[in-house]
Amino acid sequence: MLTTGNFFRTLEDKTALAWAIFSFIGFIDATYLSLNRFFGYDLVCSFWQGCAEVTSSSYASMFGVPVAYAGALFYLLVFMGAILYLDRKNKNVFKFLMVTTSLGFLFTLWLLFVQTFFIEAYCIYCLISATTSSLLFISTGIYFQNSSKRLKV
Amino acid sequence: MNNNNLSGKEAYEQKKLEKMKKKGQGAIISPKQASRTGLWMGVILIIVLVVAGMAWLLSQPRIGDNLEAISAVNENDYVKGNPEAKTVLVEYSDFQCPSCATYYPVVKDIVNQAEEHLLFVYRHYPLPQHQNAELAALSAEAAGRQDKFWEMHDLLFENQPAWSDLSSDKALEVFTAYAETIGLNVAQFTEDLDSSELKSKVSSNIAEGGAAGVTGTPTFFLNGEKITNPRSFEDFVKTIEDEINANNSTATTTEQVQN
Repeated sequence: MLTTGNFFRTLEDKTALAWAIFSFIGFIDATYLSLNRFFGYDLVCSFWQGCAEVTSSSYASMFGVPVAYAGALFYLLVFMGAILYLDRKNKNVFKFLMVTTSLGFLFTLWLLFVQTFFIEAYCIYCLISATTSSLLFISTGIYFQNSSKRLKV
Repeated sequence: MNNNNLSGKEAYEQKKLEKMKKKGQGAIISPKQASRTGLWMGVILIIVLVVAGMAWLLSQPRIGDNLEAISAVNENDYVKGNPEAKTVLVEYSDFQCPSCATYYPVVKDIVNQAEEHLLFVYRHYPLPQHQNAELAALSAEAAGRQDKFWEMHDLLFENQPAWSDLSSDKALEVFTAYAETIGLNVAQFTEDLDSSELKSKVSSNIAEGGAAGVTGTPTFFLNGEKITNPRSFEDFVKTIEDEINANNSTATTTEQVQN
């Protein structure tokens, strides 16, 4: 019988749960940005300073794909992957998510770099996404640190 | 347990039960199976709800109940085009907003092209985070007192990057220089910038816009209806052209009927 008591017992489960929570928040944020782009609202200055500058800049798309769409897909992938791991306990899924969250974090660093030095403006929604992506990577980092400790013991 | 006394079917079920017990499951209808299906259905449902909910929220026109006020052009408004035109385009804009500056040449083009069939109204909606936007709005209003509103409006948009990041004092110097360029009486211009009447006009534009559902700039109302989602400038221009054509064809039909 599945109960929450033993469901999140292992370090892997706890990590996957953290991934699921953070990626869900990231997904909401990236979906909001994507829908704004889809509806054409990125051509509008709103109360949030910097968003128009950032989302209408040339860096808002990469190889023709809007960064917001890629972000929403990334978070959806991590979220579904985390749930899949919690359900099936498939080690390959877990490893895949470790790699994905790390790559996602590298991409976040690039986007922060672009906002700081090229666009010289920050968008609140992009910063929320940077936070959730960092939290995903931190969860991976904590797992990695504890699992290597476990191996040493 | 002696399996020899059981029929084939019973033996099969017995085996299945033992297998499940080994896995830590007691019931014949596997709760794991049930919760697994429930889990995935729940996950998919949540995702669909998040996307659909947000799409629904964003697609709401967010228009208040004073649409008549939007369409009604008043004597304080600065307008371009034909005052008798059946198509009225109202823009709520901010001189410091980069998107407004991007729209500026597009709007100017369409107003010039459809001069006879369109009335364009410019209203202020300076956003609080744009430090020089209100001063820019007041400068345009002050220029308007000397009948040069549109000249100042054009200069402000065309040179937006030059004054956007300046301190208020420096921006004032720049705006005063623009006033000189377009041939205004500078002393009068400076005095008008402090006019409480002009300040209250800008604030009432903001209040009206807010009540009509303006949350960002530029926001356009075409015959009282907010242009919600232009995907591109082409889309935006087409929306206006379609409205002009629709109104003109109705007008022609009415004239024909009357004749």
